[in-house]
Amino acid sequence: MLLRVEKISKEYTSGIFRSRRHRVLEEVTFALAQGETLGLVGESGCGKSTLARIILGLTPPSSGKVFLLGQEVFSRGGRLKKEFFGRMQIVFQHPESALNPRMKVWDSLLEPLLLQKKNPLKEEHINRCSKLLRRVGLGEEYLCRYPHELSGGQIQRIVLAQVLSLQPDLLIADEPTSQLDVSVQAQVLRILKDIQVENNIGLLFISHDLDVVGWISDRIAVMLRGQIIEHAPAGLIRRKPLHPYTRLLLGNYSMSDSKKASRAVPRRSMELDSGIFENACVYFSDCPQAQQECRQKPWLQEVSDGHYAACWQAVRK
Amino acid sequence: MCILENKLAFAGMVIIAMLVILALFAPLLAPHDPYVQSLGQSLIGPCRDYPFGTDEFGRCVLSRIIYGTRISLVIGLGVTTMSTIIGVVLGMVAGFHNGRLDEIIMRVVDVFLAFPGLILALVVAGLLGPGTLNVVIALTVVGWMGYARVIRGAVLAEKEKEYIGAVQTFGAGDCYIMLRHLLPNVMTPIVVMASAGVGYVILAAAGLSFLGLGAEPPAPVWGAMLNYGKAYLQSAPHLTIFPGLAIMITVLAFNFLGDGLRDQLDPRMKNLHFR
Amino acid sequence: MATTLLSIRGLTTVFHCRQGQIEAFNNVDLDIDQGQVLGLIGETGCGKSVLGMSILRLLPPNGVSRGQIIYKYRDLLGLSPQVMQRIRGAEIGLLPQNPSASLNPVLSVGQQLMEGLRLHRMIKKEKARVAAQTLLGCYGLRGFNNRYDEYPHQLSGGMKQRVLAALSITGKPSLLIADEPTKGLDGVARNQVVALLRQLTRETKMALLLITHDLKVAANLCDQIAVMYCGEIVENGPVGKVLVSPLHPYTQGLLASLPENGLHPIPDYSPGVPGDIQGCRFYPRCRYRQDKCSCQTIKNKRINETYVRCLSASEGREN
Repeated sequence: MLLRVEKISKEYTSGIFRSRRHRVLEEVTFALAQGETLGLVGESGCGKSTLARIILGLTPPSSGKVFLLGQEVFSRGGRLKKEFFGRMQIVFQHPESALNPRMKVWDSLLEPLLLQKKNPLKEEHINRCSKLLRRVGLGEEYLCRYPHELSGGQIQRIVLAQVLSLQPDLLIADEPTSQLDVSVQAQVLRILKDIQVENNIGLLFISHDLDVVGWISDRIAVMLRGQIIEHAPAGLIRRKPLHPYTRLLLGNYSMSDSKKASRAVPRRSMELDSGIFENACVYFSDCPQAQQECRQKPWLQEVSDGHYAACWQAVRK
Repeated sequence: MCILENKLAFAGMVIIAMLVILALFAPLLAPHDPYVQSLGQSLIGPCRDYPFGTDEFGRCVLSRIIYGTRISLVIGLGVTTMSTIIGVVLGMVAGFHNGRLDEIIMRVVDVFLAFPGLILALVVAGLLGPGTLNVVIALTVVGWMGYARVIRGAVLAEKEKEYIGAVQTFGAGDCYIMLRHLLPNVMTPIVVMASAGVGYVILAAAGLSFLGLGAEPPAPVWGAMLNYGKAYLQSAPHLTIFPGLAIMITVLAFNFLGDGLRDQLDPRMKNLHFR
Repeated sequence: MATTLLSIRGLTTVFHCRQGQIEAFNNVDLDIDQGQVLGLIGETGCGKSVLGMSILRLLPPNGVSRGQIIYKYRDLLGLSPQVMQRIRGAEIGLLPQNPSASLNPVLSVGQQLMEGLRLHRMIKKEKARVAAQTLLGCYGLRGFNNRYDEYPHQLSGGMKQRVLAALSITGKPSLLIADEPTKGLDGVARNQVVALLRQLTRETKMALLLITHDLKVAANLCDQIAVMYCGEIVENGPVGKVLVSPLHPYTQGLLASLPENGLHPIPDYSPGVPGDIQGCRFYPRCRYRQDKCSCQTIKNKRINETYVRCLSASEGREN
C-alpha cells in the first residue's frame, strides 16, 4: 500500500467562554495503492479539502495516523517529518491563486527543485523547465510570463508540471478542474491521467462531480459530514449504490435522462445542524428511509466483495 | 496607468526631489552660514541680502531653512524606515504563526496604541533628552504599530492562498516562505503607508522640537524655529511664516506621493477589466 | 404559435478601453418566445454574460451596444434611463451570478424580500410580509418559517441562490435573465436550483434566458439552445437537436469533452479577444476546416429548425 490513512479526526473549537466543538472529520480510514486512483466525492463543506491538507501535513489532525509506504509521516507534534517533504504533492482548486503572482513561470517551475536540493546545473535550468512545459503541452514561450497573463487551464498545467518535477509518490488533486470550462477540463484531466499512469503515481482525486470522478478513478469513496459512508470500485458504486445519500448524488441528472432530476429527493434539512442526534447516523435527519435503528450510528462494513457502506439497511440486504 | 500621469503625485515627487537636492547641497545653496550670529542685523524683514529675513540673533532664515531640510529628512526617513522594519518583522511573525505568538504581539500593539501618540513620544523624548537620534527613537516607538497591524492583516489573507500551501508541500521552511513569497506580496500597502507616513513624522518632529524636545538649540530645526519665532509674531512674522511653509510643503509633497502610489499599486485599480 | 417576447437583431457590444475598442460580441440575433426557456451556453470570456447585461442595459460606463433589442414592440436601446429602470425587475428580472455578493448582509432574508415586494407591487408592510413568507415557502425554503428572519451568512450557497430567485420574481417579470445560476454549486444544490427554475417557469409562464456554461443544466431546463463562441452565436436550435445531434463543430467538441462522453478535449484554447479574425472564429481549432472557412464571412445557415454558422455543416454529418 502506498498510502494508508488511519482514523483521522479533526475537531475545531470555537468560542472563548462556552467553547463548542465542531467535528470536521470523524475517523476517516482508507488506503491507496501505487498507481491507483481513489476518487473522493462529497458536497462542499463535507471535509474533503481538510482531509487533503491533513494528509499533506499542512494542518495537524486532532487524532489519527497517515502512513506513506508503511512509514508514519507525522512527527509527534503533528507536523510532517522532514524526509517526506516533496513526496506528496497537491493540485488545488483555484488557478488564480495557485502561483505566486510576482514570480515568472520559470521561477515557479524551478522552485520545487531548488527547495529539494535536486538542483541541476544552471545551464540545465532552461532545458529542464521547457521539458516540463512540453510534457504538459505548453510551449517555451510561457517561461517568461506572469501568472496573470495565463488562463486558468494553462495555470493548472503549469502546476502539474511543477508537481511532476519532484516525481512524488502521491498526488492529491483537490477539485483541480471545477473552475475550468468543460473543454479545458478535458485537456487538463487527460494530462493528469497521462502523467499519473506514466509515473505510476498514486492519485487521490477530490471532486463533487461524480461524472469526472467516475472517469478518472479506480475506486470511489463518498464522504458526508466528515465521514466516509460508502466505498467501492468505481463501476460498482455507479451501478449499485447502497447508501441512500450516494443514490441522491447519483440521481444528479445526466444528459440522456433529463427526467431523473425531478425525481431526485429534495433534501429536507441538509443545512440543519445534526448536533441533536449526536449518536445517530450522519444522514439520519435527511434520509428518506430513516428507521428507529438509525439512531445508532452505523459503521463502514463490507457488504459485498470490496463494497463498503455505512448504512444498516444496506448491510441487512 | 503610469504614476507620472497623476499630476499631484508627480508634483509631490518633484518637490521631494528638490528637497533632497537642498539637503545634499545645503552648503552650496545656502546664501549664508546658518550658525553665524550678527546681532547688529537681527530681525530684518525679507530683503535682497536675506530673502527670508533674519532672526533675533541676526542669522539668515533662508539658510537655516535649507539646512533644516537635512534634519527633517533624516528624521522623516529614519523614523519611517525603522518603524517599517519593526512593523514588518512583528506583523509577519504575528500573521504567519497565528496563535499564542500572534496574540502576544497584537496585545503589545494594543498597549502602545492605547497611549495618545504624541504624548508618549513626549515622554520618551523627555526621558532620553534632546538630540536628533532621540527624536528618531521616540517617534519610532509611537509609529510602528500601524505597520505591524497592516502587515499582519495582509499576511493573514495571503497565507491562505493556495500557492503558499503548494510551496509548503515542496518542503519550504517558514522563513523561506515569509521572505520569498509573503513579503513581496504584502509590501504594497506598506509602501503607500510609509510614503504618506514620512510627512506625518516630519510634522510630529516639528511638534516635538517646537516644544523644545528636538535637536540641540543652535541646530536649524523647522519646529524649533517656529517656537523661537512665536515671541516676535507681531513684529517679525517672517520668522514663523517661512518655516511653517517649509513644513507644510514637505508634508503635502509626501502625502501626494502616498496617494498617488496608492492609486497606482492598488490591485483593484490595476485589474480593472470586464468579462 | 407562441408570440415572440424578446427579439434581438444585429446586437453588437463593444467596450472602449485605453487600447481602443474591445468587442464583447458581434451581430447577435436571438428570439425568445413567451414562456420559453432559452439556454445561452458558452465558455468563460465568450461574451454571454455581457449579452445578458446588454439586454438590461446594465453595462459599465465604457460599454456601448448597437443594434436592436425589441421587447414587446419597444426597442430597449431607445428607451430613456427612467423607463428602463421601470422595466428592470417588473418586466425583465435578473438572477445575478454571485449569490453571496448579491444579498445585503445586514438585512434579514425576509426584509429583503419585503423590500422588493413593496417596491414592485405597491403593497402595505403587513401584506408584504405575508407575501414574502409565501414566496419563501413556495420557492425552495419550504418548511422553514424561521428562515424569514435569518441573515444571508446563515444560509448555504444553494439556499442563497433560491432566495435570490424568489427576489428576482417579486416584480412578476415576463422574462427572467439568469446569469450562471448554478456556478459554484455542487451537485445536490445545483439540482435544487434547476428544479426551482423549472417550477418558476411552469407556474408563472415566464420566459427564461439561462446563461450558463453547464451543458447538463441547459439540457435539463431549456427548450431552445444558443451556443456562443468567441462573441458569436454559432448554433441556435431546439434542445433536442443542438445537444443531441449538434451541427457546429464547436458544439460537437463541447459535448465530446463531457466526462460521460469520454472526455475528448477540443485542441488549443479559445482566443481571448476575437479582434479582427476574418471568417470563421473557430477555424484554428476546427477539425473540418477548409481553406475557404478562413477568408469569407460565415452566414447563418438553416438546417431544419437549427441555425448554424458553419460552411460545412449539413444534415447528415455527425461526430
